[in-house]
Amino acid sequence: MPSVLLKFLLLICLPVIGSLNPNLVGVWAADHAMFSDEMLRIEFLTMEKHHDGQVSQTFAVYPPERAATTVSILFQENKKSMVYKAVIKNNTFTIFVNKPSRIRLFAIVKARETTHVLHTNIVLFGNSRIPVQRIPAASEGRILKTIPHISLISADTYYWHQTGIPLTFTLGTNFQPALFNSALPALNVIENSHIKPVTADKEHPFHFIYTPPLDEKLRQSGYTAFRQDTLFTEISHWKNRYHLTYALKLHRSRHAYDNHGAGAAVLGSGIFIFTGMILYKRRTRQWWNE
Amino acid sequence: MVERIRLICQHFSFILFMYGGRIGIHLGSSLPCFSCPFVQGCAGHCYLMVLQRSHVGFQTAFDIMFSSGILHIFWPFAVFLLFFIPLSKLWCAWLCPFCLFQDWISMIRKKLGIRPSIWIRETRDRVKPVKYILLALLIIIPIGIANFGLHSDWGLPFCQICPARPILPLFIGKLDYFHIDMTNSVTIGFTLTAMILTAGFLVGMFFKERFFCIFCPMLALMHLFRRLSPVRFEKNIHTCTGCGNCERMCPVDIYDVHLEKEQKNVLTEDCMGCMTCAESCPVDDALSFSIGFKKFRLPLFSSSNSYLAKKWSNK
Repeated sequence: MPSVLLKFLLLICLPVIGSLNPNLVGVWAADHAMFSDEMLRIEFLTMEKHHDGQVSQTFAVYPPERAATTVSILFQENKKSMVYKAVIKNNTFTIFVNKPSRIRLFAIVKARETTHVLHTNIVLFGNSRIPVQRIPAASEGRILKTIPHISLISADTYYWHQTGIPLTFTLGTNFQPALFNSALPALNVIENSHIKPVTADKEHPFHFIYTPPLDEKLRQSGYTAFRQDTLFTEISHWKNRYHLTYALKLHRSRHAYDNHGAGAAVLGSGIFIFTGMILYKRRTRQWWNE
Repeated sequence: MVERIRLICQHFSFILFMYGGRIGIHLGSSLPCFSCPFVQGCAGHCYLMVLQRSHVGFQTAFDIMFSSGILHIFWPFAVFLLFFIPLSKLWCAWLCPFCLFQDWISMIRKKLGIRPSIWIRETRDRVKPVKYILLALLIIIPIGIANFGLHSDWGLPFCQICPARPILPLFIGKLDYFHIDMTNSVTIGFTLTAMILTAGFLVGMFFKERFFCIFCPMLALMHLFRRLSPVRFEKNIHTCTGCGNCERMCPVDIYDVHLEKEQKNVLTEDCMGCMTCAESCPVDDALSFSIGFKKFRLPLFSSSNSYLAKKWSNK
């Protein structure tokens, strides 16, 4: 009830500053190929460990078809305010770290009247004393304080996001997200080339809970294998339109397949059998000749 | 007296290693004892885990391993040596949390009045190489993952089957590692082996003191570098009467100390430095533990007839 009241008050008091595009899901779901061309995407390529202990992650970047400018890649390390930019060559760019780092990465490009903002987080375990060569982007970096983006607010205790574990997303904006129509599937996800709406959190307004389903392909691959899901939405603020995406790198669930009952059964049977073996041996042989 | 001091040390180190991280103590990832990284809030990690990891251990590609990248494997090893050298194998019997767990199980057996199992010498000889095989495998398998395309679920092979992994987290109320991981055939194989081994070791350590230590690859690793340590366990072959008390009282049935007729140094591969043999030796200075080099040698404990007499009269 208080959240409804709050929404109502905000609707009355604040000017109309944002809304969802209601046709977005229907149109793009119908034609996924066209949809792919319309959005800014990145792809996680190889993560490499170097001789000097530095670790690099390479990304491929796919700008929207009608991009008016080149994509600018900005990133921050370990929640520090310093912003750096990455240089794109042949549609790829690489980020280096020399210590364990959580990288907040943004890709921003303008296509006609729409600003495309892509956000992702990645953890890299560098281990080197050699400083990393980076290009500071103090002036461009100021935009990160104001630009709207999809933000992952819960990532459990694991540094790798896993299938089967609920992840909570919200919209990071400096304008009021209370004005979004929560009756619509506001946040959507492309999951193995299928578009699905993300469930809104009923307890917290403008929070969305996405539980990536377990993946058979990842299950058979090693624990380092991953798949990439993309969350997206579109919002507007006055005359500005923003197309927001979040690139989610997912590893297989570490505990979803654990069978504790079977473990207890094997352990119990093992204890029973081994104890029986020892007792039998003790009763049938002289103790000094075990 | 020695036994009592050892028990105090063991309990103190158990609390330190198992819960020290919760008060901000972190001794790194190169400890020469089973301070298990799967215990959240522990004060440091067992070096065997680092040995198996990528980049800092042997799960590293050859091109990095045979370049300056070798330094990343060397540094944790150097830290391991820094911890290991001053105390040598005293780490095992005096500080290892898993050794104390085994001692608790043995105490329960003693309270119940159940006699321990005693192994004949042939059995002891037969199981001696197992710890070296385990040590070799925990190095070879990670190399196979990084260089020969072995499935990455073979990662941390020893940790996956180590009985300390499910048992020690029990002390922080975590039962999570008693399971069969049904993810794929590799994980099923590992967790099934882990559960069977855990059952085997639990039963084994009930009937035989420090049963796991006989197979412990950390003991094998320490033995390879024993010469670097100033800790010495020596036998005076001229005064030894050959009574065999040392063999009878040894929790892991080491007979080499009893039979040794030539060499002075009797710190054998299975010896954990618990000093039980020296405590039970009736001859003055026949068995002695000391620390230091040549002229600068500090005695830790020497066998003594009066000590033994006092110990037994107290009992």
